[in-house]
Amino acid sequence: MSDETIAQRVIRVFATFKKVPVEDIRMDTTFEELGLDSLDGLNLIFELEEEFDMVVPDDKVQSMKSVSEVVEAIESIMANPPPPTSPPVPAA
Amino acid sequence: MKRVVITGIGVVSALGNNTADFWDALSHGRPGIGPITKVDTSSLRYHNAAEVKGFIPEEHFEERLLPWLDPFAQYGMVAAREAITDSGIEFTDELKARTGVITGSCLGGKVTEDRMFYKMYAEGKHRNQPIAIPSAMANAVASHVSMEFGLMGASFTLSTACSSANHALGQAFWLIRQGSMSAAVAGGSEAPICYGHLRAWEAMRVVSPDTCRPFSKDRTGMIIGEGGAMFVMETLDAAQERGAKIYAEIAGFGMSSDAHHLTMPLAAGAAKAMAEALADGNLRPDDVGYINAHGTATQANDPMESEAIRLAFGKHTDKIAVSSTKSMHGHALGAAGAIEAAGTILGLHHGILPPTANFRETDPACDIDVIQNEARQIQVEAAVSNSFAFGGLNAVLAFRRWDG
Repeated sequence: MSDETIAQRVIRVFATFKKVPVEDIRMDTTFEELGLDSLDGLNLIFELEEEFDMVVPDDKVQSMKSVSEVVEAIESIMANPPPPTSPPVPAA
Repeated sequence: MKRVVITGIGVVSALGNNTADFWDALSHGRPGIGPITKVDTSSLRYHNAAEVKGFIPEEHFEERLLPWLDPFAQYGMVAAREAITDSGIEFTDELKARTGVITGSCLGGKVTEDRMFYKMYAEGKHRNQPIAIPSAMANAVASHVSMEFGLMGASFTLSTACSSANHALGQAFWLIRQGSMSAAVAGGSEAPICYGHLRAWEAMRVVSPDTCRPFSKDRTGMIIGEGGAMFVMETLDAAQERGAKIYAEIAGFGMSSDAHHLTMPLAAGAAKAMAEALADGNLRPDDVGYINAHGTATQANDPMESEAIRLAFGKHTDKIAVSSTKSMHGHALGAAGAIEAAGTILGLHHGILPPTANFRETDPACDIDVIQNEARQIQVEAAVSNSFAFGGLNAVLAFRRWDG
């Protein structure tokens, strides 16, 4: 697992999400080509957040329309990770 | 068929905990949006909501009853009491038997559930007070109001996400119009501000990081609101016989389903619900002077709704003033239609059309006459209030002014 590059991990998440072989996902594959609408896109980004244990900010989501754009966004978030957070205790 | 009128209004919202405060803020374009205080939002990506403020449950409910009341039930009950007092209606035994309580709620007692689940999953405490089930049931307001006032007609609750309250008001209207009931206490309430639910909205990526700017080109999404609004509805004959103050007539109600997508709304579906409401109320498009829009300020809703208004009203669209009062009281989900009906009815009653607050920039994709930031002093003859739910379920109410 640790030998996988970021791009390979992203492609694996895409392939699992679409239930297709990884060979079917290229760097220039777009959400549109995969038939992902906005709601599917949100779900896929959630899967990526789980895979990389990160939060993708809303403004980054707008620029994620292809595999390569997703890889770029994830690399940029990993370079500048936001501070970790934990759920608060609810008010009584 | 009987004509149906509104004779009592009660509101609890971010704009105040009674109808007078609500209307004062609404008609002056004063938003009730600010930092969330009821939940620690430090780990969330948004921090603002339209919270109910200064609401002290102990001032409204006996200590014995309070543990059984989720905030959504408290808001609904306080609004119902105000509406009933405001109407001056006297519930005789005969009338009690023919009066129902019909409410809308998207979430039910989510705050109660959130606390219970936190205790179980986070703290590992698996013993619960026996309150959870009756506090969390979505029909709590209908049940409590019927018990408090002894109302024994048809009472029930509708849950259609953001259209819940409009569906509830529409059913109450039709049941009275067709003679199945004599009167109704109807509306909706919601209390969505708890950590688990705010997190769920975060994942939808439709909540604004700052404020709600419906139809403005620089809009950044919705702002979650809470509260409730309830109405007393009765036949015109009964209201006139007892000399009641009449706010407005409920003229028509229209429903439709997009049959399209879970979260992407469809203009044709929204337009169909508006057209159905007009037809149901024997209204022509040019009778309508004001639309209280669903206007969530999301990228998806506002252009869709603008297009839908054009589809439904054609050339007359340019003569209709439109506002989204969610810019002030937030999006109260299952209560939204009720709170917005209050704004619409009071607008007809006072001859003042409430504005869209926080508006900054015209959006060519929203080609309608938006009332920007300041109310308009115009007496219109009829007005429409839109609610469109996730899942494509649309419910539209049409009101006619009462000149009496």
